[in-house]
Amino acid sequence: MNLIGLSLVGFSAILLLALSLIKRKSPPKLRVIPALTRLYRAISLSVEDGTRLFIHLGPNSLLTPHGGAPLAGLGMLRHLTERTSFSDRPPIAAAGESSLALLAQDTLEAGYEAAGAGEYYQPLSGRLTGMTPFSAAAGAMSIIRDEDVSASILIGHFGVEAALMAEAAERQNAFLLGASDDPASQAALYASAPEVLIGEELYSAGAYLGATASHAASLTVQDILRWLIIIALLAGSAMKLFGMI
Amino acid sequence: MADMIKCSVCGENNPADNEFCKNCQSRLQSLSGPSKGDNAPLQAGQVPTKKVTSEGDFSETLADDKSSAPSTLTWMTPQESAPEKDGLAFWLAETGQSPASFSDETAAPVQPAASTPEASSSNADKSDWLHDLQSGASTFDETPVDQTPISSDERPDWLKNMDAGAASFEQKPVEQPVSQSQSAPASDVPDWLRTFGEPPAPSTPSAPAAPSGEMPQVVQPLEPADVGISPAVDMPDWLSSPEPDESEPQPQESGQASSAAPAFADGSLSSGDVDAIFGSLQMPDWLSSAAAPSQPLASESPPPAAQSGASIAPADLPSWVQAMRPVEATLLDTNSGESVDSVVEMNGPLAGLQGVLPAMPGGMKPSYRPESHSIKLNASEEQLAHSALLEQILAEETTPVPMKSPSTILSQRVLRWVITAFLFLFVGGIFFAKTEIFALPSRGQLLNDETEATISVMDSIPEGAPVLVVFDYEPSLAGELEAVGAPLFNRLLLLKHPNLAIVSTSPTGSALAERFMSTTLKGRNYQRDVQYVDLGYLAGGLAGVYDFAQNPTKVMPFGADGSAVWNSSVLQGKTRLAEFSAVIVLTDSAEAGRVWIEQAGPFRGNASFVVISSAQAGPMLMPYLQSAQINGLVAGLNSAAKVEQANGQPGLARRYWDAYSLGLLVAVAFMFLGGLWNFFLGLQARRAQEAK
Amino acid sequence: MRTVAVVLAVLTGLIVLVGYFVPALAGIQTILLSWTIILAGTATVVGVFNLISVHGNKITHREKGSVYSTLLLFSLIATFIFGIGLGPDNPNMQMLVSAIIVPVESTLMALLAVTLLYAGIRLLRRRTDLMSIIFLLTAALMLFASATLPFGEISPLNNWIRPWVQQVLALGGTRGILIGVALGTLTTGLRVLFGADRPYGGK
Repeated sequence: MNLIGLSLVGFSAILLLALSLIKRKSPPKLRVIPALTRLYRAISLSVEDGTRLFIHLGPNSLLTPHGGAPLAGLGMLRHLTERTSFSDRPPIAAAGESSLALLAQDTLEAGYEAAGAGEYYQPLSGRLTGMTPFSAAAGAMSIIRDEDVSASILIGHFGVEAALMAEAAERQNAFLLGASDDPASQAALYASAPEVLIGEELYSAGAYLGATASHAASLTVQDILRWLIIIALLAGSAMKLFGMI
Repeated sequence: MADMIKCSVCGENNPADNEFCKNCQSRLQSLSGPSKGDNAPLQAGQVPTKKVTSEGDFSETLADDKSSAPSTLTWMTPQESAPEKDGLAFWLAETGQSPASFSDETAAPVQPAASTPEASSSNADKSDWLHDLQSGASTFDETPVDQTPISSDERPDWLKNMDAGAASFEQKPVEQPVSQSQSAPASDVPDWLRTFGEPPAPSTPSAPAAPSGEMPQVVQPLEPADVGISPAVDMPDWLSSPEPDESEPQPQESGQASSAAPAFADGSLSSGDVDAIFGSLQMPDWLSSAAAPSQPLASESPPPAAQSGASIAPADLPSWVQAMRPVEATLLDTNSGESVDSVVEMNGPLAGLQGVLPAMPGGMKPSYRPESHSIKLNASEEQLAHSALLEQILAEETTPVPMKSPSTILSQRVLRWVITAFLFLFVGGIFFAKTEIFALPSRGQLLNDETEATISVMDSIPEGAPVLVVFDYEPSLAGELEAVGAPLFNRLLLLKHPNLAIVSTSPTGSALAERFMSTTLKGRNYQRDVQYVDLGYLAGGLAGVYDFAQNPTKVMPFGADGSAVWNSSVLQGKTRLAEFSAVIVLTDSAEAGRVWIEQAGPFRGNASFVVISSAQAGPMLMPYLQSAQINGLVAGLNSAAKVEQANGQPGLARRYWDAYSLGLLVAVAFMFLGGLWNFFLGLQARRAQEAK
Repeated sequence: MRTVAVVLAVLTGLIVLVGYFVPALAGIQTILLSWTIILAGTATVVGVFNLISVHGNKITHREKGSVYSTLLLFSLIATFIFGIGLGPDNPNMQMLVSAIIVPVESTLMALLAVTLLYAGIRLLRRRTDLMSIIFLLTAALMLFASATLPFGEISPLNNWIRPWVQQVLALGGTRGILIGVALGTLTTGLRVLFGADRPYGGK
């Protein structure tokens, strides 16, 4: 039995629950992420001028170790759908994998119903753009170019093909926010996208759009665990250096 | 039956002394005489002649009137069509007196316009009592009104001649006060009327007149003749002339047959009579003060109607009296040119009145179509200009301001084309030129070089051993992976002749594997189902790696073509991962490599684990090599070139190396120079923005 | 119905998670994972229908790019028919992959090379800060260190600097990012297990 892993998961779960209960009455204090601030403005502008919002969740499945990023993308999709459901042009959610595309459809529908605009939901606003990363990127590029998209959000597990979508958005003078958990993709997006979230910032995007107690608590848990890991690494390095282990 | 008067309304016989019908309470005798001369109703535009009326106490007069007032207003009940004669004006006309002549005993009596002999006959009687009134006018303020009622014989003819259906007021009969001694026949006659026929008597101001249930004339609705009702209009009985009374002298003919006699004639009433009339009422101050100058008024020239010799002088109606005129006084204005509504109301509270409700044109059918009205706004030019300006302002507010989108700079497109052109030129040119200018990377220079370890692992594989090969990369990186994997596979296939089992975690993996085997390794001449088998696509992708590693035969019992590959000569009955000599994973991503390493690693046993990856995944897979979780790593064309050098045979790595190196150098040049240029441009733009 | 979905999702997630640590639940975990794989395969078919619906709607309404949608649907139907008729192992089907799929995707990859180079050139114009300069210099250094020159390689650059930057700086930073990503994945997964996040829909 992997006790270390089990204890880490258990400790995280207990901490998350406790902090959720403690923080449920106090507003979350989040540091300013300029990319998310500009994202909020871009979304508002897209609703005002009647253009479309496009969210791509990446070509990766939830069944992979990188399924956390698409999960975070689905949470963000839900918040964005509730905010933009009454726009003249409904948002489009796409994915490069079938099960993720179905979940995106379901999340869109839930967002519309939560906003009281269930009758405006269109099933075809949740799409599968391709079965491979580059074919999914090509499908996304055609959506950005042809369907009057003014704000694009790439949040999920992307590869370097995300740079193609970023260039398509730049050609249309559209806003684009890139958030991937792959370092190579982050490097490509840093160079090509106007706004990019580095590292685990993509997991906090949902908290910035619709902060709940559990969201804020999860960010705090991440910070606590990160510090614990830092301490463990430094301590282990020191112990290794001094020959203790 | 002597002295019986038939009610004109209900036909009931009543005693002659009765003023009101005992059945229907309508007035039996009209109040006014025929409208002739000064008694003729006022016409439009005609100024009523001011008369000096009684200055007595109005309240007394009102109280007296109330005592004998009928319960219902006879003018409200259906009346027979009244004669054309105006009763009130008649009696005023017959007296031939004007208000101014009340105090002027010497004033010539005004001869009211008389239209009928009957009216003229009563004029003489009226003139007597009015004359009496005139003599008593001087004592109006001083002497109380004598409340002695007059007998029926002494009643003026105009009063007798009033129809039974004359209007009466809705006043309950009030019990006569004790002080008001009235004879039985004269109990219904208002005191203020009785005093008209009595000699002037000293009256105390405090003694109120006791009208016999009727309101004084000043508060009574004026006769139609007073307000100029045309003789042709149907009038209620109480307003119409009374039944001709033979005893009454007919009113004198006047030159103005149709002219309306003033309501009050100058000199028609003496001050004492005025006191008798108004003594019982609360007279307003202005009226009290007006009584004093009533004498100077007497010197005014009487109106022409009065000059005709009528006994009652026309009187000037005060404004507040004029305001109390009935509705028909405003509607029935014959000189206005409007069509006269000849409909006399027969029912309801407006019975007897004429022209109250205008008749609907075209009969009684209501018009369902409403009148059309112009919807055009009548506005001046200035207002229109202001509204246009306001509209313009509002339009500017609602008109979206087009956002100044940054136009696609031509230089951006040019730059892209320049980059493409340079890459095509240099990379393509040197590739098709098949040059070998650039030196290959030297091997063995690094300690713990990953390629050396890999070569060692490959050399340790037994000959003809089964090797599991995983194709886990996308078609987009097929070019790189084929170039990176070709040297190692060439070495392996050439030296060890292993039996290969191919599996893939992507739907296109089998096709890519077949392409690799048939084109890249074409020289090795490996045949399907002879030297290698294709297990097909692993369902679930990376999620199925753990299950496959646990029990490969259970997860993939058949090959891609449906054949039983596990029992074939290629696999030689191997059923577990540990029974393979080596596991080689070709992947383009570090995650796929990590999954295979972490999920399948515990189940590989002593099998060697080698990863062939693209250059982008190499750095992240290196720790696995350094931690001995994998035995070999070939990452990128650089490592492949080293393996090719170890093979001693030039391959794809050598073929691509010159183009690869030159392409990298061109990219570095572009990034350095272009970056420097854009850096200064960016600084310049920033400074300009800050300056703004 | 929503409550049942939430309960099922939470229960399934807990069993799979605990099954990694408690061997007694390994059997149930395997069954659940097998069901998940079957559902993922079924979702692939549904995804293909979604693709057909979207592009069919584009063709029907004659939207912009409907020509390419027509080409896509035609290719999809033709490949499906050939695959059913010939089988995936048929050399003609293999040629379809080799002649169409690989070149198309390789083209996109080549396009990416131009895109990234262009983005690298304009990086300093978009972000004029120290990190961008360091980023660009590092990229240029690594590119230069990966290539050789006609007269030979630059040994210090190729054999020392490049490996050190890759294995120490880049790998260290990448590990830090991956640790953060792992923590984020952990908390996100826990939120889903607790029902705070419901990516499967619901209020």
